[in-house]
Amino acid sequence: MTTASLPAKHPTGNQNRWKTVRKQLPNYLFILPHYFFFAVFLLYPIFRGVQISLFDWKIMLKDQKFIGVANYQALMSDKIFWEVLGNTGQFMVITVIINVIIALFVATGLKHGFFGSDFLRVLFYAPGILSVSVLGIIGIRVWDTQIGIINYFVTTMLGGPRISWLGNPDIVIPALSITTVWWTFGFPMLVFIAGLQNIPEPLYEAAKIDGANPLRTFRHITLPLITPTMLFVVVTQFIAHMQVFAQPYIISGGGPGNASRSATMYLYETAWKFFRFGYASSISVVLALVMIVVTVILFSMMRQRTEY
Amino acid sequence: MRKLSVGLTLLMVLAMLISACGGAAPAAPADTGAADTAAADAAPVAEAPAAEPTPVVNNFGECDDPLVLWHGLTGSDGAVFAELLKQFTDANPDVCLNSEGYPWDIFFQKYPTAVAAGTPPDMVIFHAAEVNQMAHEGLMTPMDDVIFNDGTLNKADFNEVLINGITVDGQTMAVPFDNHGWLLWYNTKLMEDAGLDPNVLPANGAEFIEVAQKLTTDVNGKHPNEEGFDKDNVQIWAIDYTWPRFTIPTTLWQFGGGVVSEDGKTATLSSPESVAAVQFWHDLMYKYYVAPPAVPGKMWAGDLYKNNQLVFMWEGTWTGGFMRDNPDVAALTKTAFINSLAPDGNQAVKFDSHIMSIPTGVDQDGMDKAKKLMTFLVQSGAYWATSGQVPALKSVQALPEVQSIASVAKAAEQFNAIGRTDLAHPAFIEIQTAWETAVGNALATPDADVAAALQAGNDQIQAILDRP
Repeated sequence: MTTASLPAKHPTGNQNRWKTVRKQLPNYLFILPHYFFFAVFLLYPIFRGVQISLFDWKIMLKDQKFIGVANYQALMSDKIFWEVLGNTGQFMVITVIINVIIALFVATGLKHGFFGSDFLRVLFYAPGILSVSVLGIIGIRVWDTQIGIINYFVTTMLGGPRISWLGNPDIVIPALSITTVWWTFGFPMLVFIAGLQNIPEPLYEAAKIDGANPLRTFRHITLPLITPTMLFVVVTQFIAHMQVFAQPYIISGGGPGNASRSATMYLYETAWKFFRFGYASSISVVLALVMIVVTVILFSMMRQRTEY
Repeated sequence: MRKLSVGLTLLMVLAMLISACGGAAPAAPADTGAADTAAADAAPVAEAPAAEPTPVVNNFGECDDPLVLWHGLTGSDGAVFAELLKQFTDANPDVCLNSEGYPWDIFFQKYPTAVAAGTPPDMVIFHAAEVNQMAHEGLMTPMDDVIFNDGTLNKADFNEVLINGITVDGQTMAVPFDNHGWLLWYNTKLMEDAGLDPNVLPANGAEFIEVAQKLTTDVNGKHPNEEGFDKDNVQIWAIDYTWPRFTIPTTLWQFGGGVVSEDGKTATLSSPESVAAVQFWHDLMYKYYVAPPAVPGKMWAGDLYKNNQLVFMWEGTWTGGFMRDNPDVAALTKTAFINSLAPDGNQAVKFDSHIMSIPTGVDQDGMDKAKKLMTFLVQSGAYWATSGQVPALKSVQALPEVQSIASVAKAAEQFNAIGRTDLAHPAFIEIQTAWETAVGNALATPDADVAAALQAGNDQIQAILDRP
């Protein structure tokens, strides 16, 4: 039996693309609502914010005064901006480092299920479900100079001096950081637990057979293999804590002086207390740029992955 | 085992849910809070008033097109204010009211955005100090043609200093509802216990320190000028550094200093007089130990006062409400002009006002209703005085029922005699934030360099003033 072979009819490039688009169309439709809201509520405000930063924006004026990059020039010589940016950086560094260390430490302990491990996971995650207002009230009570529980232990049990935790410019940010760590370390802990559980168990068994002690095992197996998780945790923590607002706003009021005022707090005040919307927009643009640059640096630093 | 663990977890989640549904612990008032809320927030801490719920959103009367009023009177004076609004709708059945009270920071977010969006309330109430800024932002309707020029209200019957403060480019932008500000409240019993005559008050800074050292007592009964005084465990303080927004301008003016020069062009926060004024407070806290250090979150003066742990309390006229709700405390309390801390005994006190205004963009119907309400509220100052605030009209201040409220009578006399208001400026709130921050830095620690902190604030304020 012979078969006559007809010349194959190959689709053209355009037809291929159209076919692919038609095939993918349902997927696009699924994400369309998200992109619609993303465009309306995020993309447009971002564009508008950048635009407003180029004006001396008055809320009631119909014709706004274009001033180019004058807001940015003023920002570069604004001592308060640099001070609050420094405060924010200090808060972020302290909080991220302690959060990562404690979360990883606790996750390592809770990686394997044991009696009470579920309870402990909930216990450590529990502060995270509190609203920031509640956290603020707790923070005020805990760090209070006169009736705070910390000073109770310091003075009554340790016989130490009454410390003005929120009134001393040198220790107010660490106090806010510690409060925040207590509140937020549950999330990175859970992420680390998930990451640790993805590391193949035979690697640990092999290391054990080779006589590696727990410290070396952690350094040479756990740490390298958890790098992608670490990158995720560090980047998300960095972004979250660079935007710190409510903790200093509620607990210390940004004081004493500007000692605990954060960049977002300054941004809020500039817009909604001083009605300098153009200048506030320039602050938000610069803050966003700083965060984008640092995030890219973090990605490039931690991009390297280890596989065994 | 696992079941037990899961059970414990569920129990804990349940416990957290229950605790989350429970009432939160009362927080100490922030120093930067509004006057009205400061008194009100602090009251529950002292387990004081709160006999009646605080009115936040209230409707009075029934109609399709209510007069919408936004304000920040959510504190202890809010209940009196709500009663006034009820009296208004009872007297004017053709008008109904929708009264919405907000914390001040929320108010100042909603107000400009509502005006910009073309949906303003018919009437707003905020402070005289902020009028210049709001007027320059284009948020206010001038009131001369609305209520003064036709003789409905007589401008001369209001405090002249106050009227000047709310006049922008020759136009009066608001109608004062009251005068409120600092007044000296002092505990006569603690003075007598210390062997002092409650009718003889210190007349200047030096005399005050002398008296304050006799009054301040630690838990062992020792005074700050005695060997072994325990500054960390003080039982009775002579004075407290209450709300800096009123305390500092008052002290600066007593010393001959200020924040900005009279012409509004030069920052004067670092002048020798201003530095001396703030240094005096620093010394009261860290040198003489007669005032608790000014740290964030510190206990409200009212709590100390209520517990007989504070003798001289520089507090607002609205404290009258607190006294009304605490007759045992009121029985031991007298009021007087704010005592001078200056070397020469120069007297000055800061006062402000709740002002009523019509936002830009309100239609004629809304303006007519607002005018009616404003007139009623101003003329009902005698009832408003029961909240502790001083009526705006001098003719009402002189009424017997007002004069019978001792603190109101004293405050009215004080404001008319030595009262001063903040300098009006389009960047008022930014300037205020700058000096509050600088003073906060100056008073934060015992080793703070007061002059350097005020110089930094001065530079910042000058930069604001120099802005085109």
